[in-house]
Amino acid sequence: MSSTTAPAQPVTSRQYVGESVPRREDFRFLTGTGKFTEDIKLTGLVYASVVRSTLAHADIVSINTDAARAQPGVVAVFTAADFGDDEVGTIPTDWTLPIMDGIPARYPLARETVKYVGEGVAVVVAETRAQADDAIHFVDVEYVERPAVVDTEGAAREGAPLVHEHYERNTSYLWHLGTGDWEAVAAAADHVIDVRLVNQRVHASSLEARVSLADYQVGTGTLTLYLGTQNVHVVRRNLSIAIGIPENRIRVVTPAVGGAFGSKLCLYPEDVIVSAVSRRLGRPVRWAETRAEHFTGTSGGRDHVEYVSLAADDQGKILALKVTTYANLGAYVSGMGAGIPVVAGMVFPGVYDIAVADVDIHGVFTNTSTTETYRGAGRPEAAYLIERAVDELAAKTGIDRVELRRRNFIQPHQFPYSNATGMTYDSGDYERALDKALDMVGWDALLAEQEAARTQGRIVGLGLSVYTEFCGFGDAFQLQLVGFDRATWEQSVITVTRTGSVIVQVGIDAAGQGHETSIAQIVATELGLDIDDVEVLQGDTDIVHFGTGTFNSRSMSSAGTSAALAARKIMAKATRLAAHLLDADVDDLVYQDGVFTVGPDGGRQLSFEDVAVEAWRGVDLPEGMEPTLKEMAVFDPPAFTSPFGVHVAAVEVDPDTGAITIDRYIAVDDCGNLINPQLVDGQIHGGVAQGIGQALYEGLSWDEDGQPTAASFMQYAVPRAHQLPRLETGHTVTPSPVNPLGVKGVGESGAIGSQPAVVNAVMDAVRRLGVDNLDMPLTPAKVWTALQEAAK
Amino acid sequence: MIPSTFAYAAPETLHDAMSILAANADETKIMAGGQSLIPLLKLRLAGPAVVMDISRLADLRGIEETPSGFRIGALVTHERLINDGAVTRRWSIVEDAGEDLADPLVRNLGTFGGSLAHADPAGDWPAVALATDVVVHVQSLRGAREIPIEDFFTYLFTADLADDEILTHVDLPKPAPGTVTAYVKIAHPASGYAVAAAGVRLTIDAGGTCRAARVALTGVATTPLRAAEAERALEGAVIDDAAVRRAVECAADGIDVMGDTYAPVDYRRHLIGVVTGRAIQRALGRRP
Repeated sequence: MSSTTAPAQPVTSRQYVGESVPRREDFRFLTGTGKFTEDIKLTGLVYASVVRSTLAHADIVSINTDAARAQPGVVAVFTAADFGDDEVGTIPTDWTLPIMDGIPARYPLARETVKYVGEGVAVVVAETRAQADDAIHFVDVEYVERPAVVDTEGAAREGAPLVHEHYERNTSYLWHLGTGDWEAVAAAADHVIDVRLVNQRVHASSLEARVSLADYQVGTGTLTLYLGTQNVHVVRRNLSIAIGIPENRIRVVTPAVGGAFGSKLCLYPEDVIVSAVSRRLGRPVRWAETRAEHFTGTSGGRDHVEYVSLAADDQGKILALKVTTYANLGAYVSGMGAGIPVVAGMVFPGVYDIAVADVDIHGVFTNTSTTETYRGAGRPEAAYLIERAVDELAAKTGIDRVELRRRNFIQPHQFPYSNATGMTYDSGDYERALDKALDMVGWDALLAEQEAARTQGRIVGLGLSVYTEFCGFGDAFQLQLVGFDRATWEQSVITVTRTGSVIVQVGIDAAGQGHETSIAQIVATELGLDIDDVEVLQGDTDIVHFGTGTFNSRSMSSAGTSAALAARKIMAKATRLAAHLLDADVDDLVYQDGVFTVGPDGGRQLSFEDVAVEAWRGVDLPEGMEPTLKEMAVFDPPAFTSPFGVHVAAVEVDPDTGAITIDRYIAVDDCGNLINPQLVDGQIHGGVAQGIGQALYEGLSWDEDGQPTAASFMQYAVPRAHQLPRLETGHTVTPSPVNPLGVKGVGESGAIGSQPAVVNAVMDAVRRLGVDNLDMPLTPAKVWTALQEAAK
Repeated sequence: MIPSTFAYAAPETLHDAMSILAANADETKIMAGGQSLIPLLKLRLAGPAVVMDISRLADLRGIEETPSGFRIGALVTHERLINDGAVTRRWSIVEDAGEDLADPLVRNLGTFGGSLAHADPAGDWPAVALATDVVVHVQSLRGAREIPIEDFFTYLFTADLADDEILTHVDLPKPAPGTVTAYVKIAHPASGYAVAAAGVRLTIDAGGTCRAARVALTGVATTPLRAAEAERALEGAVIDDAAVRRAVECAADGIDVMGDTYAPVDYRRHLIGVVTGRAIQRALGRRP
């Protein structure tokens, strides 16, 4: 901003940034008055239910829909054969690595072959939901079964059954990262440790499953799609490509969303199906996922098998890292699915200054549902890998694990720091966060307590993880090089109405994060107005004209920043206009509590609202100023931000049952400046719950025939409140240098620091009893069996 | 998901209910609190032509103290039973089972009789009923029957109930002097059902000798059942650590233990000993 347009003293007593302003969304969600996609009633609505493959891999011989069409209430039944290529095309992705040999065509309804249990083969449309659900059982699909492969590592082996025959192997890509000569360094190193880790498939398990409602207007040729998504604009783009309606005749709206966690980031087959069916029938069509469909049809996360080795000198200085990852893509490439394993690789070195890295990442097809972003998307896998490995190194060398970490930390003066796998970290101070966490938990005293407990035969352990990650999806150029096909920038539009109230339009789409509150805090602070005067709009392509959506904890750093920049433009214009109206020099104005005053001692005054009135009246404006008080600002982050933190868990294992209790849990997270500490803690709590879920309870698997072993919350265990410890949270603040708000992002940190902290604690408890490895989830049966084996 | 279409009947009297059953026996499902049936309907694992809601049968709702014990109506809710001081004063096992029995929503609607009739192999009340030697009363237009609980559970989700019979009430005896009881459950983290649970009743004389023992298990086999070997190890023995250990060691003997992904057979077999031991210790802790 130039000094001629800036208010001389942009002060305000209303400093909302940094305050735990109550979340304005709470009222509607706590009173049941939030409007979700299923709450939308449209005239003439019909209901879609999808017939799904019961086999993991099979050729479709025939599909007979006659009996289904004859069922009560059935309006229509469609298979892939009923739609031409111009009506229903393949589903685009948002991330294809340049080394991939294209991606397998994924049609919303399977054509010749089904590739996983749950893949759609037909859709039944009926006057009621129950009629549609009844009628799908009358669709007769004849299959010829093919061999299936569900094992991530096994699928990559020579001779494994092929998921896509035209590729001749299941490995979609082998991406190499790193620098230096691992072999040479390892050969000369004092210590080398090797460990094989499995980061199992987990499921976001949002409370609201996916729902899609399409409303095609025959009269105008326009389509409105309502769905719970993290990203209305990317859905619009990909839907346009898939069904051949231009983007300017598609409106995508996301009402309230009951949880997303990355699983609602991309276009899904059912979104295309309801759109195509609505166009065909000229009636609104809704599909609402069942929980069973959610487990088989909605993308899961993780599913990596990792071989990790560290080479270190006799002081424990880590010299080199080697990793081979097998990452399960599922049967097709989902929106962001291909990129996640690669970005995971970019933070494998974690918080440690490791000069040499040699990383191979195999993206592998299997006959399972697709993988996709899930809270953390690559960074939990990375943090788990390096933090488990560092504990192994500590065990091997006998060097205290805290001391070992300190010896290897990247130091504050090294930032911005480029690691050996190509990621640049913006800022960090790991020692400070570590000291704070150790202090909060009382590390030394707890170690002594646990030592005493062990003499009584109790199995107790203490574990920590120190992580860093990347958020904000910055550095567009670098991301384009790896095939990322979304924008990195975000735009905000601020309109001040004639009565002085403020509308902020942002291109992010919240799913419970509280962005209406936190964005309003930023804008109200910038404009010096009461927060109740600021309304935040999102999630509708007709209201917000462009956005990249909510993911990668980018909403504050990108949308928050662009909103702040737009607000500053508003202030600049308002100040110039106020100076004109007050016949004063801009530099003589003081702005406080929504009032412009000439001179510091109170002279002539104009309220912000008075200025807004004149901006809209447009009669008395300075030379060259256009009417209106409306500004747009774009922020394109120059780089990623790097949140970091330290999580500590104290656990006890029941020797009789193998059950694990977490007695203490400390999370110290540094997300840069905090906009709303309460919302930040809420994000940490939720993330830690999901991380503990992965560590102890959750896991989606398939039997050898490719049948999923969990299809409901009767089998798939997400932790409930009573299965979680009290969470003790703390923060250090290391502002990000890559955006003017100094924020880093916090949506995923909890899910990143937690799994390694918990598993390291359990390993600390059982390693001394002879258990040398455990893979998540650490179910009681698994732990007890390992203890039995070790005791033999 | 939404259930497939069914007819709904809500008779006001037991006689009407029995008549409806007599007319449509094989296609009617009885709904008491609905806490097991509704999920099954919703998941379409059950699809009866008729759902007969018996919640209006007021006669099936009370707990009555009788000279020999308690007469518990089939429609008594979990919440009502576990908070009945007269029952729980004599039978701690009932209060124990209430500690981890589902959630408040289910406890307020689900019924004791429904739970027994549903015969879930991992249900809590079946183990409590086996440990306390209840007698089940059923009725149809053909007449009434009394079924000792040990004969009641016949297979997975199957009880000795004909299609036209309604479980009306259960007789819970009064415990003999010197009796202590307890229930201990290891719950599945997702479903909350027993991975293994034991209900124990021990009647111990003044000299410390066990005169009667019941060890009932749930969650481990195709039906809730008694651990016969553990009972044999306890009955007639002076109850000391060695006796408890012997009971624990043989608790799973003779039982065809079920395995699954969460709890493989060997692990669940081991857990039978764990819950048996813990339930015995918990009961012994209640000796005056």
